Amino acid sequence: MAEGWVYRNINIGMGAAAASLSEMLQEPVELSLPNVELMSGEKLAKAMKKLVGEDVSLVVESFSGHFDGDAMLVFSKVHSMDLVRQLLKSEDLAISDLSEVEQEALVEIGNIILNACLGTLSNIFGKNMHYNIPFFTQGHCDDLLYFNNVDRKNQAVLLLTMQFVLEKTKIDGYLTILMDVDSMEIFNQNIEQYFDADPIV
Amino acid sequence: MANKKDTFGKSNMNKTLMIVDDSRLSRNMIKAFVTATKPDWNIIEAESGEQALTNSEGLAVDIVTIDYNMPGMDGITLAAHLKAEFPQAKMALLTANIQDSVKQLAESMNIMFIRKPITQAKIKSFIEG
Repeated sequence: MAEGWVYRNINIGMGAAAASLSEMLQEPVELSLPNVELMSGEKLAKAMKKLVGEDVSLVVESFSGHFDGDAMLVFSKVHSMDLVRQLLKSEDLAISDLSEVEQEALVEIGNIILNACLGTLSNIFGKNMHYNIPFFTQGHCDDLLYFNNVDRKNQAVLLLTMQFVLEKTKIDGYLTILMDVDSMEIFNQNIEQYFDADPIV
Repeated sequence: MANKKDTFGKSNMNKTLMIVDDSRLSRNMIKAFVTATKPDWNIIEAESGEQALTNSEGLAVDIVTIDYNMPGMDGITLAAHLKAEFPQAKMALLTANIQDSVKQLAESMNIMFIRKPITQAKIKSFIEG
């Protein structure tokens, strides 16, 4: 299946991201195979609540170009803090600095992981995309429904779920890509075009 | 001579390195990795392209690391300005943006492309390579 092949490619990109994360944290990082689902925004919030809990930490990177959307790295609040502690263990930090530095550390992790995924998509489709500066935010799962002032409650969204687990610290996070219906249509066309142009045996 | 193994062959000459990245964490990591082996180097930091142009004014910059995605000017645009200002400077685009188009742009400008995350080995290889 064309979709399966493309997502295996994304998985290769994510594998590189996991290697990067492992390099940053000096700890093995395991990735689950990507699972892709089309669902309503409302269902997405429920799914996230089940996976991560009600309070979430997000690193968001919006993208535009051939198709537009928001890529998000989602953690529970507790796991996001654990991840930052793991990353900053060798840093000399003033206590007063910690909160801001923690956020910056998460943004940098998000930056690398989200770019690995989005960059792989750009490269396999041969389409250049513009990425906005990633940012960190925290909130309730339901906030995902209204992110960027768009009401996605009844809108279809693409949830690309990949779990990455750090062996020692048991941190897991999820990557989601939210696109509106038009962008998803273009996204799917790209998958089909890619498959037509470069079939695999 | 004490410093005869210096890669640049300029044993008594300290270099000026400019780090351009909107992430303070990234700037700190690069600075720490450089300082570990080149404690005498002069290091300038900037969190945007615009600030990099201001902070480097009137200085002789030898080496530059540039992020790509930054508020305001992007890293490639900045690199073009810096190339005109410091034609001899060695530059690297140090970014998480792995798009082939970005990589090709950097290479067409004779700028090294280094994929984040930042590690000691990558920084060492760039500044000494």
